[in-house]
Amino acid sequence: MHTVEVSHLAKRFGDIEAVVDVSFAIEPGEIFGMLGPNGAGKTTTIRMMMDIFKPDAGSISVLGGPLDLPKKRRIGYLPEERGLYKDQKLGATLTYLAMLKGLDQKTAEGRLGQWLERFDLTDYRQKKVEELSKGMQQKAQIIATLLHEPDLIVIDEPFSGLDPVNTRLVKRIFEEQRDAGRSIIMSTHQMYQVEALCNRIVLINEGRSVLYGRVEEIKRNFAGNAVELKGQGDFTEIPGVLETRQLNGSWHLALEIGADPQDVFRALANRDGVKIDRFELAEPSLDDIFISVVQDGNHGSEAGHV
Amino acid sequence: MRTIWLVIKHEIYTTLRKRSFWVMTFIMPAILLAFNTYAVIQDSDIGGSEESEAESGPASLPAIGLVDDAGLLKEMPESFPQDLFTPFADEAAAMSALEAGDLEQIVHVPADYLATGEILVYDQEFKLMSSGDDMGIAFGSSSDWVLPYLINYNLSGDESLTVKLRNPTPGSIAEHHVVRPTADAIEGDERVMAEIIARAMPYIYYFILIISSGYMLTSVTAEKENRTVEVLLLSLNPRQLMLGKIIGLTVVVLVQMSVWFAGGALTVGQSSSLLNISAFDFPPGFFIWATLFMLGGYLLYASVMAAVGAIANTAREGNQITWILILPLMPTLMFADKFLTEPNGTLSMVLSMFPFSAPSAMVTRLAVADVPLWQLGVSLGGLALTAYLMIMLASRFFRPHHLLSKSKFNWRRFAAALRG
Repeated sequence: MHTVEVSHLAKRFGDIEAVVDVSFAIEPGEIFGMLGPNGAGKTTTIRMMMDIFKPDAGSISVLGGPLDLPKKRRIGYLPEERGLYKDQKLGATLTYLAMLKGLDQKTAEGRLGQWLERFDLTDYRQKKVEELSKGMQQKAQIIATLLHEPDLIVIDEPFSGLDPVNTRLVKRIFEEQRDAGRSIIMSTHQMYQVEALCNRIVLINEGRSVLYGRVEEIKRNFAGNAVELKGQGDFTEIPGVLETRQLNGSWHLALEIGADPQDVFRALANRDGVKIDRFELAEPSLDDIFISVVQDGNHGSEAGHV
Repeated sequence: MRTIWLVIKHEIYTTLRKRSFWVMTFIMPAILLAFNTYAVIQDSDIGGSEESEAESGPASLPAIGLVDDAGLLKEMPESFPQDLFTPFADEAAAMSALEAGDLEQIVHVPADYLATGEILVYDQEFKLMSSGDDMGIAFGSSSDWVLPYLINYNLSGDESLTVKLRNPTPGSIAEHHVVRPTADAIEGDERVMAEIIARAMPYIYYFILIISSGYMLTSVTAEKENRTVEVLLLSLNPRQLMLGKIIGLTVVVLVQMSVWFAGGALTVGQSSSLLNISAFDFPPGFFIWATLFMLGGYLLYASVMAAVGAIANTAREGNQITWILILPLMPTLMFADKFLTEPNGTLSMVLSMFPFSAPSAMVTRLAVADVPLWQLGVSLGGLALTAYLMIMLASRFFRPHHLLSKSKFNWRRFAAALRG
């Protein structure tokens, strides 16, 4: 049984079509990446999943059916726009939010103690939230998301404001949650985090799910859409290339969907002042795929669907 | 139910922990008391107590020059200071002293006073609110001018007769029955207190309602501003959130009101004792009615504030528009005098029956006159019903797309939300 199943969702706000057609499903015990450029419709999709907004069309099944209040309490949600009571004490705020999720005060306070210790925030329990640094507030927000031990965790940009040490800690915690059989939906722009954590992804662009499936399969499907080369000369503005960036002395070119690497090679070879030492097909990163699909518009839905 | 209870506790806990709440709770009665004390002290500086003046005359005396062309003020009663007036042979000499600043006032009793009854008074400065017997030295807190008393004394040569002329029907109280006036104006000392109460009550209720319902606006917009509302909506539905806030803040307001009422009672008691007038008799059950109307008014305006808070982006934006929605409280402030002169007149009655002005209007009316029980019942019932409807209406605004919206407030959105 899927933890979440979303089928042909659509939502309009006045004249704006926020979501046109989004479909995906999430398995138990997986970390699922939800990707897309700003304004693609990710947050609206999440809000419809969370029953905050009602969809105009399509169907949603969460934890085995329509979302009701008892099921909502089995969800941990870290929204895009963080929210804690700034003028209240950290401990009291997190306990209140956990109790709203159904925990009794004693359990909530007991679990909170453990989480604060893990996140090195024990000394800040009696401090006001506004006295905490941005990174500490982010950790507190993650605690609020996990304190009631939810079955489904929805996290939007979970690594925002975290230093590398805490990023690693949070990643480890999410992996533990996944290993405990919980489903995690992660929305982020940090592609390397998605590559490192997510089993499967959906890419939403202009309100549509344009890419959906296992990360390795998607990358395999997009093989040939990236080229790595070494040499001297001008490697910018090459026909069929979407983005050129330099990495450790090499050049990494993200190609348009359907662009032939041989044509790119020929175009470079014909350029004056260009000397090529090495030219090879590269496995595209999710970053390349994201750029290819988003910049190429809806072509990705045909090429990338698994 | 547990969720609502948690929201109620949270609202009480967070509001009562705010220093600003306690400052506001104690500062209002403190200002009222301080203002009242100052006013009473100022007032008693002019005269002093009426009982003591018969024995010792006025306590604080301005420098007053007397030109007695009629020759009527030759002697002063023993109980009066003998240097109450500085005599001058003619008006020109007295005027020079006034111009030099040696005098504060000149009283000129012309030679034909007995025929005309006219006295001339010259002051250093124009007194806007003074006229007739308000001027010069008065008996204590009353506005009775001492000059006619002194003339009577000189004409009769007998102080006990003079006292009788001033107060022909003295009597000791054998039984004390309180029969409150209906539409007639209240007389005597009680009128002084009635005037204070009739003028102060609409302002007090106006501020209490604004401040207390303002807690709702602050609470709703704070959760929008700090973005907790999105997390909350995954634990409870918007109506539970609103209900929890309303009930929680009602408890907070009751705490505040009890402090304010205690402060108000202290102020009235202080006014009565310092002015030496009999304590103002509030009608039976006044404080119960006042509390009920206050609660009804709070619920009504708190639901209005909740609606505004739900679609305003920030507390500041909300505050900019609430003044329009609290306009119905203004007529009671503007026509406070009418509640004193015609407490059961058409205007007073209409304002006290209209739910949006009833909280302040009815309580003001009740303080100065007897109000038929049926009117109290109808007014309170109407207020309760309107408050209930407003809460239902406010729940239309308490919807996720309003609570999560970042759009600026505009009346079109307000109207659309109102239509549901």
